[in-house]
Amino acid sequence: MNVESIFFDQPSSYFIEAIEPSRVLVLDDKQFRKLAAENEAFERFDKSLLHEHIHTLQHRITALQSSSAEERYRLFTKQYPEVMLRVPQMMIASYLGITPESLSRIRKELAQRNCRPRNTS
Amino acid sequence: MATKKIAFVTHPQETHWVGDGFRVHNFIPAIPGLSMQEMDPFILLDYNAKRMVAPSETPGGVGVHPHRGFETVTIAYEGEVEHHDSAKHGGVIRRGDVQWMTAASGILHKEYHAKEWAKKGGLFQMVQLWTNLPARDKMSAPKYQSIPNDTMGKHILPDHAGLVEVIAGEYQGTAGPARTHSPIALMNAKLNEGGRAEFSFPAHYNTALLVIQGHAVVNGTDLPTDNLLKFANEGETFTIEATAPETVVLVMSGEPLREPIVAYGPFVMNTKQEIMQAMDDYNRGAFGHLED
Repeated sequence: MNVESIFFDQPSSYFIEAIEPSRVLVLDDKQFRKLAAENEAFERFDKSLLHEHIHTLQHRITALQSSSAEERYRLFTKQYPEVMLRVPQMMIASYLGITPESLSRIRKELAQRNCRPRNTS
Repeated sequence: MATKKIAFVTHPQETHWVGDGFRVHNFIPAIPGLSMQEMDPFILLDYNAKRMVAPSETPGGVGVHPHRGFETVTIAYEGEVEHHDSAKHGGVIRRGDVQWMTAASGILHKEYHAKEWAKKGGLFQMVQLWTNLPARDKMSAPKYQSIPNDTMGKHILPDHAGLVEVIAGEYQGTAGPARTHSPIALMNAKLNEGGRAEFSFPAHYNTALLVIQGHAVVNGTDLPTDNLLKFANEGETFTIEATAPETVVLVMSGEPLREPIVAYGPFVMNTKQEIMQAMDDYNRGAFGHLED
């Protein structure tokens, strides 16, 4: 949900890019308001979406202010365990507010701590 | 011994890119009738049909990615593939060679057109087959089997029919070099026009053929280039007859493991918890590290 556009009628500062085959349902603000006005269940859904959105933003701000880059990476992978497999690392680095080089360094350091050498044949 | 019943023949479907180097038709598991359960122990078959690759200083390929719970079998029919992994293995799979990688408990790897080959470009044709591991071996140590063409079993057929090249399993007393974790036969029937080869696999094994080159007739059914034939689980024997010169047919047959399959991208395990564990292990670096 793009808050800038849907509630403040401003052009969005984000764009959407599909990085894997996707089906996206698009609702414009008129359809959105109409649905919320006419359907109680949708209104409840809309409200909980908004709360979820604020919750996520709050977490992200707190993490950006008070957690190290490695902690932010760990929180992120706990919250979205499958994303590292599906999203290019440069995009994840950008989301975490670090450079791709920093993300690579963090992952390398984690590997040095957590990868026990195995006997390979 | 009864004649093996044919379930169906399928054309390749639309291609998709794996990274920027491999343009593949997926057969297993995307095509109806070729799901992981229906082709058990074969859980993926990607086929890069023959195509020309333009010369390039930056070889096309796939960047660093993990695997856990199964094996990747790469067969290079044309062109060369270079690979590197987090256990510091690396090498080039050349024309006619096979690499059998047991990812098992986990490995990070990347694979590209071989650097020197890519500079000149040329014909490229490859199969990547994933074979599932039994639950007891899924968390065993990763390993490689490099299988150069001259180490494969070569069974010369009578009457200048051609030969059967055995990668895994056995063909009329000629064994292939690959060590497998469950009974699997993988071989190339390389036939001259009019040449015939007879095969026999137990009815309950899942068995399929892919025509790499030429044209074959199997128990009376036409099988053109790039087409796949799946046998039903009835009967044992079949005959491949080449109706074009230099016909090559990949023969795969395996005893089903009949264990639960839970797959997510590059992880194939038995339970959802094991998939979650694989993701967590990957995120926290337990698969090691490999530079892109």
